[in-house]
Amino acid sequence: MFHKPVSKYFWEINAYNIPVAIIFGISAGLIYGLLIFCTFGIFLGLLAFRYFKKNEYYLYYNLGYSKNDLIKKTFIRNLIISSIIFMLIIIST
Amino acid sequence: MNLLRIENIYKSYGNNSILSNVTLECRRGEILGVFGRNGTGKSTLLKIIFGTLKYDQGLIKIGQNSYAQKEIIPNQVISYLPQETFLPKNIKVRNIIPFFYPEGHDQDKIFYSKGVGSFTERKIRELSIGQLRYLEILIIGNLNHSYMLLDEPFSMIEPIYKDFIKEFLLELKDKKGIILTDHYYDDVLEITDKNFLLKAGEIIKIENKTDLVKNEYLNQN
Repeated sequence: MFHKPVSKYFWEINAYNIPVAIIFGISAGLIYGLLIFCTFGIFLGLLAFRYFKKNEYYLYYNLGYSKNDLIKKTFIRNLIISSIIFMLIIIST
Repeated sequence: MNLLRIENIYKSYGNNSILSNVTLECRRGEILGVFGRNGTGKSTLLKIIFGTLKYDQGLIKIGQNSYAQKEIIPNQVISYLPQETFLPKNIKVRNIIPFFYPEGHDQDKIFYSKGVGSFTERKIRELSIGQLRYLEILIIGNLNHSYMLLDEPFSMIEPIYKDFIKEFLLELKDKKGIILTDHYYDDVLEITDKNFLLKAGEIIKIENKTDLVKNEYLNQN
């Protein structure tokens, strides 16, 4: 799950996701920001990657990662990160 | 694993039939050339074999095993060079190689390949078309996959890198089966063992340049 290609894809998707999640977090509240980070933000990142870097999927395919595999791993990572931050917020309040 | 066989492949887009009952075999140790006019389904065929484009009907067998298309990528038996570059443009050559090959001795195979030393410090977007294509072929060619598909490896390449690519593919032939498509027929015919032409959805065996003329891929002049 923490192989270099998976990490690269994770950062590629979240390069679009994180700014959007931060904007939502500031304007609507931290919980909304976290929700965006593990749902709509990923979708937005996938769309942007498909639009700007579609052919780079072949890099991952040649290394044995299917698109579904990459998306699943990115989604799980984001979910874990969101859950940890959410737990920390609950604990601290 | 010594034979890649695709059987009775059918593919159409709406009413437009692209591939009709295409059967092809590639053994390890062979280079196959696939010719065809634009739009006859060369790239479609390669994408189907690689598993990134669904066929309407057909069968893909590697060795004794049949593979569902979605199993091909995870099993890492076939590598694929698409027509357009797949390497990230803002990364240096020396940094992209470890991305594919974590082990130093595997990296060395690429770093010490003929001609590579002259551009390892450049970013991907700064490479010439020839350097980029050559690098991509070196990268996927050195992966452990048994078969390699190349979509237009010679297109727009300067002669020096064309020679490097041909030399590398001939070296690789001992370990892999290779299927390539390109319009640069002289370059293809120089290195292939068998050749085919896609015409009207069907695949025709080609022996030489004369057959390409006979089948209206080339003009008589």
